[in-house]
Amino acid sequence: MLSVNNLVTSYGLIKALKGVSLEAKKGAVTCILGPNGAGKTTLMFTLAGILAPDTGTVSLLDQNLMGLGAPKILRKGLALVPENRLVFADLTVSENLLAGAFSQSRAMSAQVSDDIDKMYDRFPILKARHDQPAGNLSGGEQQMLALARALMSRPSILLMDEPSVGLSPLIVDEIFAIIKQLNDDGMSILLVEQNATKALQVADYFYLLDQGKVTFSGTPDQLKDDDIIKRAYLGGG
Amino acid sequence: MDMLQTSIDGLMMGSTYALLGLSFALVFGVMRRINLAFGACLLFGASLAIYLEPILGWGAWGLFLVTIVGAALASSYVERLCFAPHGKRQGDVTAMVASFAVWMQLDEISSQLLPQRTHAFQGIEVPNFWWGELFVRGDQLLHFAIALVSILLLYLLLYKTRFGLLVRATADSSETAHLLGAPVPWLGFTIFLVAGILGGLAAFMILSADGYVTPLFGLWSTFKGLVAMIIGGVGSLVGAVLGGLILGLVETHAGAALGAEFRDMVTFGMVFLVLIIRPGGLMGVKIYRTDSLAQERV
Amino acid sequence: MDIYLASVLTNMTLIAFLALSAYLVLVVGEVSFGQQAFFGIGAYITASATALAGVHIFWGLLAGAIGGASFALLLGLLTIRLSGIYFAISTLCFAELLRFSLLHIRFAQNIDGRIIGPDGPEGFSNIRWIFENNYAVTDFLLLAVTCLIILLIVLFSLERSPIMLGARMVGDDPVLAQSQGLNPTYYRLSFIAFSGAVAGFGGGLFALFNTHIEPAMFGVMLGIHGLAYAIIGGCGSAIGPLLGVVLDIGLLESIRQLAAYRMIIFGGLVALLLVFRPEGIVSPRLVSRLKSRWRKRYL
Repeated sequence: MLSVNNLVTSYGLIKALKGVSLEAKKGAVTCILGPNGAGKTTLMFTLAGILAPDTGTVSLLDQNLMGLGAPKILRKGLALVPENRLVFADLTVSENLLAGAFSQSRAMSAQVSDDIDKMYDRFPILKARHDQPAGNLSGGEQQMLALARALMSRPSILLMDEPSVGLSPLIVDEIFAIIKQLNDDGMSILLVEQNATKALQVADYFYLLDQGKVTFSGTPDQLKDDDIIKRAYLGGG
Repeated sequence: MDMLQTSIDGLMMGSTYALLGLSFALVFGVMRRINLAFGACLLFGASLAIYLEPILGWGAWGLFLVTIVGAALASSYVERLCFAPHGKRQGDVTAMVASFAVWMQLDEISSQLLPQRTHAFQGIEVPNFWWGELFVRGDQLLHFAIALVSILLLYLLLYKTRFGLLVRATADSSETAHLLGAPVPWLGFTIFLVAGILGGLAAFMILSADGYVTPLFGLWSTFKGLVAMIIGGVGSLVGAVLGGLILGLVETHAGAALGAEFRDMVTFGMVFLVLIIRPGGLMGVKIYRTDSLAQERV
Repeated sequence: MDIYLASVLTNMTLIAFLALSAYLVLVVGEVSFGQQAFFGIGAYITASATALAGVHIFWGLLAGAIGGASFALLLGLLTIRLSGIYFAISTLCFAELLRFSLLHIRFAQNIDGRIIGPDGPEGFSNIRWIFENNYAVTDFLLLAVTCLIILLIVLFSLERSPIMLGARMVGDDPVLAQSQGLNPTYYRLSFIAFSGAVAGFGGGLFALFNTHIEPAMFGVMLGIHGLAYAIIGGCGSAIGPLLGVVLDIGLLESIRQLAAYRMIIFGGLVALLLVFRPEGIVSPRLVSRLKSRWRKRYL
């Protein structure tokens, strides 16, 4: 569904991604693991169109995403839930959800309010807080809001950058339960995670990213080998 | 009674300052940038209005229209030349500096249009009246009403329309808004336009009340707008309105009690104290902005 | 050298001091709209020292520099937590408050039939040290230029020192500078004080040259011009502000017919220039590129 080929992204003279290739299959949860500084967030930002890559191709459902800015990529069906949530703190929960639909044209406003109702059904806690400023929500609630907001753009594939960061284990379980549920309902998900254990519980396929390159890929079963986990987190090898 | 009279005069003055402050707060809120050429844009609008008056012959309404249109045009020009070309964050200071250069440019263009030091500015004729023991200037009351209506319209625009949501989201976090598909550069341009219109309106009202325009009006209105915004809390719209009103009140009372010379000094002193003691202003805005992506210095 | 040319050159030299003082503040990453106040303070102090107390101009100018530095340091301490537009506005307020105080200082003395001393808004007249000591206009120009050259030598030799490098780092990114072990506050305060000294010295020279000073001369517009020259010329090196001064005043004097439109052209050009060269003409990047090329060729 989402094909990435030889992606190279630099920050000035430093190459953060040195030729990353991966594939996220339709209806699957694909997970990217790796230590800090491996380039996971850079990868997410490049795919979402926030960073411009040097070379490489990205295609979603055979549509080329290269060179398109974030708004266009969103319209093509790729939505990112960024690390640290990034909700609009001064806007209310419902306004945040409306913001998620920026990419939808004005004509769709009826559909948009239907979508919001659907979000409230799926995330009842958001309904309870619908007119509170998003800044007042707890970390876990903000994560749900960021997720719901991304879903408002009706994506074909959902990208999530470290959804567990800064959250207590109980909340993390809740979030991952929602991720599993979304996937069961048919959503394709590309997930970046530090918490390997939790990620592998939901992943269908995974990639190991280290210093800007994919060092390993496989299914969770193949990961039973400890050596690979060590390689993922200590680098080298 | 005198106190009440002074306070009423102060609030009238303050309502125009509120509009000036709002213009700055809108631009700063959405783009995190300061347009130093703002006052010069207003001066340009007013100068153009006076210059075209004999040609158009539309009287006070002509002045009204041309001041606003001129200010809006100048504001758009500044946005295109000084703000659009410079990238986010690193470009913020450069943009401000460029606007500073264009301030000089617009000031001189205005001097070319109005070569004399002082020019009459004839506003709309409104009768004055007495309300009990209080003297109310008709034109100032009209201006106060216009300012109120403008603020109300602005509120409706920002909180009840899709455009307004785009603006507020971008003001909250332009990176996130961009991620969600907001046309951030176009929004920046439109905000400058709105700020120019508001400013032009304020300029018309101030100049009509004064009855004349001088070349110093550019610097003066830039300063008043900045002060209103700072007292209220940089970037806060409610703060800008409150700041403008307070500035008007303090200024008028200081002028009544101590004389015109001291009036300006009281303003400078008040702003200085606010900056040293509570830089976040009335609304307590954070002056170091913590974005999830990075910590930016304002 | 004809008197007119000498005056023009002297004015350029004096404004150069103001531009360099604005430059010093730019180096630590701040914009100041208040340098004209230190210029003014220096003027009044030097005038008082030489005209009222009869002191030699060397000590008078030194006193002016110290006075400028002291008030600048005061401002720096008061605004220690501020930066960006907040700092800029506070410098404007501080400058106007100082100027206001000058409007109310009256200490004119009758000395030998002349009224000498600060007389509120009327100003300070009869600052006649250079006339009483038989300095011609060209002599004074030589003095002013010599002082400027000495200042430039100091600034150039500072360029390569850890002090300047540290200051530029602080100006660029104070958080990063702190992580490298530098104390941004220390650099800020020192450079702000230094800028006050430079402005004060220039103000002292101005008072001596003009023989009459008044508070109205040290208003916002003066400071804004100084700042403009530093910004346009570029903050990569002390040459930048000088270039700015030469460009503007040189242009003004040489293209008489365009005099009325000078700012229209200049202002527009500057904004355009900044689109392509955001850091001014003599930008830090240009300076380091030129330096490395020079090094490669000669070392």
